[in-house]
Amino acid sequence: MSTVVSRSAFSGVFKAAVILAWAIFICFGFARALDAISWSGLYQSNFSFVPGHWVRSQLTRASSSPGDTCVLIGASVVREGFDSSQLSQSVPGVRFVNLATTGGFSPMDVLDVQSRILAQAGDRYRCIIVGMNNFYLRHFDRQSYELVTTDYLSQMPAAALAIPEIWSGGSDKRSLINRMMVPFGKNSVIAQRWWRYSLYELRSILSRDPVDIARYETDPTEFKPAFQFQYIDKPSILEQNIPRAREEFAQHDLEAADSYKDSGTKLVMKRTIERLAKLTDHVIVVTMPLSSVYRTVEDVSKPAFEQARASIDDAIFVKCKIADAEEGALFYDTSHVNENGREKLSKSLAVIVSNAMVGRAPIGQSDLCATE
Amino acid sequence: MAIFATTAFVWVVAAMYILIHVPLKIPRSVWYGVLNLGALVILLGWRAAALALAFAVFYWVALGVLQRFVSQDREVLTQRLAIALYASVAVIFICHKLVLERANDFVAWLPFHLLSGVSNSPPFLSGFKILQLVAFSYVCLRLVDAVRAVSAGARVLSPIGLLGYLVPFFMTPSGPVNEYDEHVAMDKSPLPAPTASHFVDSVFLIVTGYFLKFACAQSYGIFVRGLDGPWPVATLWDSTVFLIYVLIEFTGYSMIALGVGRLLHVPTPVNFNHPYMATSFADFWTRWHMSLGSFVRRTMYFPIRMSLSRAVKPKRGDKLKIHAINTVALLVPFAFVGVWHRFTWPFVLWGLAVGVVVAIETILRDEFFGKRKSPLPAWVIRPLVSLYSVFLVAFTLQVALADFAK
Repeated sequence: MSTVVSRSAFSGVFKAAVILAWAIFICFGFARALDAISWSGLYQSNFSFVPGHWVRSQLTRASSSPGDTCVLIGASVVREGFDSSQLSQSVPGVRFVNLATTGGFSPMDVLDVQSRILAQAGDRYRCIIVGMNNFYLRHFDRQSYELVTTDYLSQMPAAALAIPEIWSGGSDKRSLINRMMVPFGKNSVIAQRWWRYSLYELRSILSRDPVDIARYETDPTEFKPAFQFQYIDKPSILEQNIPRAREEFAQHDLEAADSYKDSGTKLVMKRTIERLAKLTDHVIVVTMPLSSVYRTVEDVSKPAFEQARASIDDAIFVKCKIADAEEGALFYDTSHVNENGREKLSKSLAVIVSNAMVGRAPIGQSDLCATE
Repeated sequence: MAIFATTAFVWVVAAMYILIHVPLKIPRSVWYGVLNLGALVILLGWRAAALALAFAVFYWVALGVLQRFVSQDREVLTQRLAIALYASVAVIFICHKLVLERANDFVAWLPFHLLSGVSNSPPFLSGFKILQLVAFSYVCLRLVDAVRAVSAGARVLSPIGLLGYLVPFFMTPSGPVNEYDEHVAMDKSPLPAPTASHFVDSVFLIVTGYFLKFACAQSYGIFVRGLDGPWPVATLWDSTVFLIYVLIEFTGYSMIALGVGRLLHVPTPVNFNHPYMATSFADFWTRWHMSLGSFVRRTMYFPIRMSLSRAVKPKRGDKLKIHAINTVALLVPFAFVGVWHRFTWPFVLWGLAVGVVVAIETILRDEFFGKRKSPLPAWVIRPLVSLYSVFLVAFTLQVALADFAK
């Protein structure tokens, strides 16, 4: 029996394919249109510290008066390093909002993603402070861009997902495509969380007996409000973390000069700063203080940082440093400051920012920080 | 139900929608069977798909022999083989219900590791996914229907076509029970050309089903018991609450299956017809899980009633015998339905309880209420009857709920 058929007989297949293609296109368009609607309400109730959600909720605050707001972006060293309330008090007329989250294995990617999210918001800020370290210029780690697990995806503009580095991740690829196709897919995590919390609240209202919130949580901290400072009230673990830090240096080759030869990260840094420069007149790049265990890492990565800096015209570079003698009092662990360190850093940065705001030259030097 | 929650399922359906229209000069059931096998490989893994295919081939051989006996008018052999096949299905069903619930004990002394391909994990998990599915109960029902149909003279599908009937990828979670005769009839008519309106109608069903199941039912379930807490089972109110959940969830699932079946032009029965609008308790069961009801009617209720009528030979007007025959014919399928849900005594009792109530209602309707005009208007009677029906279902469910909610 012949299974060969005429070309016209395939018209059914073509028609089905066209119908399906249209359906996918409409579905995708509908999903994009829904994402364009403001989700500010969802992100005002910020449950637990999910990076993407934190950025969005802080951005919502910043967007209320962006012209008077300085935003801070970066990884956990910035999150822990600067108290936006203290900065706001120290710099009259300026409000500070800290969008910094976590760094993962490729903190430069985090800065890139955060800058794209800021650019998508379309606001113009009083200033943007970028906290980083020299070793961010290490070559890309192929496990970077954990857009789905950190829920940065829900905040990224669709066009940004065309950049090649995003697709270097493994399982994220399929998740990205699938969530872009489904209405509410990008914001499904926060929407689902908000919905479960609403069900819990409704049940609490209707029930005579107290309702255990744990029954509605996927983990015990899920519905706890997000709090910026993750290490507050915790005793210092600086000494205990030194061996672990050395292990990580070895694991990720942070002390090897070859790790910083990749031009890709330098280009990302340049483009990130250029992108931010379009959103404000004052981009301030702050090299964050690290404990002495990072000495070799800082020295080895400095040439790469200097090379990147040389290609950037649109920013003020500031270096903050904590003396070895003070690190026991000011560090929580090998890279994050404690409350005392945060207070000193914030005051120091406030001086720099104040001078930059009023165009005072030279911008100057404060306790821990100086312009480079 | 996890299979429906995967994006792989959606992409498989999308691909099949295009591929089902490839104009091959082979029976539709065969081409659909091939695509279905591919879907099973993607969604369940090649081992599960291979096991399902082996299962289908085995019964294809048996049905082929049965068909030969039928065509040669060898009644006795036909009967014996049919009984043997029914018995084999019963054994498989009991194995599925009893043994696999205690699978770790079972696999300790069987060489399942040869099929699993994974040497250091529980053997049955990777090789016997197909048996783990709740839907294997439905496979058993489809097999029974196939034996019944072939005994009555229906054609035997090809092995791959039989696989497509027995283990349809989009009915693996929870049915419905599609009819063998309808599946065979698929080959008699050409595949309709794809149209936008047909696509939209089918997708609308699927999307509505997803909304009911994953939004409404899950929200309802989370509201009542949290993320994974136990269902409350203490009171009649609890069983009503649970019944509502089952209705929404099962309706949603059935709509997904129905929508996919329509999209792919695979005969798929409707499973729910607004059961909360039932005009009686008996009517409720013709609106709830309709495919199962249709199955037990054609394979149990009508054959038992006919056999008993031939044996007892009630005279016209002999109401006692007629009602007795009808009651027995009702109790057997309802008891089966109970056992089919759970192989436990509470569920046997539940099935019998339902059968008894339906029988009593039928008798009362025939003897007292049948031709009398209702004293109240329909808009009053109708909701009252619906409430009464739902109440009775919840009441009978209390008999078995403590077991079902585990």
